[in-house]
Amino acid sequence: MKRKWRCCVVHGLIWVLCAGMILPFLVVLTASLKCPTLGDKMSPRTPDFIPDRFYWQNYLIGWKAGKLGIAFFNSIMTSVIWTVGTVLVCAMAAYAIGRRQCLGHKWLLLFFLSSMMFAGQTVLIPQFILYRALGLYDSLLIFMIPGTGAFTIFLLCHWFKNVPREIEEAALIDGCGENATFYRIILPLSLPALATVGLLAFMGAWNNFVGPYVFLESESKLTVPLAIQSYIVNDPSDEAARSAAIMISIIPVLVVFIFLQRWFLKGLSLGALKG
Amino acid sequence: MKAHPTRVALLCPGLYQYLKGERREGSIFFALAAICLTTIAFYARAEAEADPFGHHAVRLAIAATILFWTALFSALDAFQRPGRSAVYLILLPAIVLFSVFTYLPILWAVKLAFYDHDLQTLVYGGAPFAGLSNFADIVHDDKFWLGLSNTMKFFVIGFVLGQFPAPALAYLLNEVVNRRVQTFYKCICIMPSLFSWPIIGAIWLWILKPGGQLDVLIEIISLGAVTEPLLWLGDPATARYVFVSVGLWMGTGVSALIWLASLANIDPAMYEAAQIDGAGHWEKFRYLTFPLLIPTWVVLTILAFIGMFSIFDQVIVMGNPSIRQAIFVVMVHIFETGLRTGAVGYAAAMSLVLCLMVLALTAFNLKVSRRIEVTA
Repeated sequence: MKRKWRCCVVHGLIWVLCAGMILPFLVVLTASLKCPTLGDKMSPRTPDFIPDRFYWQNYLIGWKAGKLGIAFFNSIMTSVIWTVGTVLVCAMAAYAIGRRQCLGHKWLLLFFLSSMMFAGQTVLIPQFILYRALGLYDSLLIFMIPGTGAFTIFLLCHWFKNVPREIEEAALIDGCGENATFYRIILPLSLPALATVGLLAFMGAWNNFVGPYVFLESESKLTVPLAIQSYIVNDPSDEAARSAAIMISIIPVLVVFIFLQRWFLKGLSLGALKG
Repeated sequence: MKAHPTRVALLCPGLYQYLKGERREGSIFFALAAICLTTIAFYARAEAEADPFGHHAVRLAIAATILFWTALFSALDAFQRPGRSAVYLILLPAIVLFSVFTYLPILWAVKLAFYDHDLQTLVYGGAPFAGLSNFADIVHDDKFWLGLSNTMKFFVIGFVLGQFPAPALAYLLNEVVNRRVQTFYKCICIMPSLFSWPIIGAIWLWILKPGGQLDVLIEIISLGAVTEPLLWLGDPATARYVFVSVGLWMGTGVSALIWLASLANIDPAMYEAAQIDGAGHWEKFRYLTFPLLIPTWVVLTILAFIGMFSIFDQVIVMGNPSIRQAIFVVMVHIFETGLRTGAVGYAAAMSLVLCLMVLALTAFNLKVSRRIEVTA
């Protein structure tokens, strides 16, 4: 009896906290379906959060006014290319360092890991000048150049070290060359690790705001965070359409999250520990 | 430079072996070639645009970096047994990309910090050497110190407000026996941290605006006693608290996961032993859980402190002119001096100082977490 009571209290308290996490999203969701001109109150006093009639038109207005089409295209393109490139480049480096333990592998790992100490935002100005000098200012190419994932290398190093040697030896006896071993044996065996770091990298790229904010200026090169930001700054009048635009940018992430939540949970707790 | 094949091959023995067919593993070479080609493409693009910002020194430095690493690594590879794959060439893309896009900007910042740039010299060159005067200016720059003190205030508020929610949430989640239900709760808790600052900022700006949803909620809870719209983000006194609270709302889930991981790491045998020794709930918490969780607490606190230096996103998204003084952080100052007024040298000097501070903190963090590994 006492246990049951305790269980109820625990679940109740968690629900209260979870409600705090989820309510702001729900408020925006309901707001995105309202029509202010038809008399729906955007911040209702009485508990009529859910409007009588869903006004889906808002989503169309928000999509157009927020320029979300081009933003989604740019965001998906840059994030996917960046993630694939980064994971490949980092896996190659991690293989040499962690698996093959080449001469000076400790120094090389230190070389990569030291880059984590220079927090991304403090080198903004010299990066700006570097990109200008390369003719990359206001170009999406900046966000497609792979390979600034020290943490990815670190994690993959650890993973590659622990892949059992016997499989590799068996493959060697079967006539598998060294590179084929990497592509056909080590990489497939490391899919869980690759998925985790890939997801982490992808989220980093997708949510990157300061980079595009500083390095991009033309309207055809908006990314999703940038589009939302400029929409909110430039057009604060239509609150329903704005909420719809926010919902549009939330939903894809949420869908991906629901399908891949296992990797997310693993990745987020790892990612937070990177320092 | 006209790149004659034999000339390049002489420079790079490893590549030479590839070209002669002594090494058969082609795929890595192709990846390498693709990366080199892209680099060359950037180079050509910069050349074609004749951008006045296009410093030849930068391009030269990049070319030298790539050449240096390629030569070194292929020379190292040449010493490897033939038939083994080229282990250093596998490393080359990562090393080159890190050198060019991470370390080169840092070195560049060091150089910039010693010159007195303005918009004119940024385009046409010829900035006078300034010595240490940029660093000396920081000492008298009120805005820099305002930014630092605001960062400190943010940290203190976050430290006080953030003590309770994450560990409490972790403790509650740990009590949930059913794994599936626990995962479901975890998912909801980390949901806010999935989205970028503009989205989070937009949601909260709308909820917090005068007469917005939060004001209405407060009016309902206070049974109509508070009806006037509240200035959550218009009043410097409250804005800082609101900023930190929104940040905590976003980050609590992830910190709770870390707390939970370290809670779950505690060996149940210890609790059993304590039980046998006659320890109650409080004793178990006081002498087992609490001391074992202190390392996690220290690491998370330091991480929060480092995180306070990158509060830039939130300030851009949620700031407004009336609370500018209260939320002004150093990164905003660097951004404005560097990119709006063109005083790149001074901005670089400030970046370096900030960088050194974060560096010291990270080193401290590493030291502490290493000691924790030893004791754990």
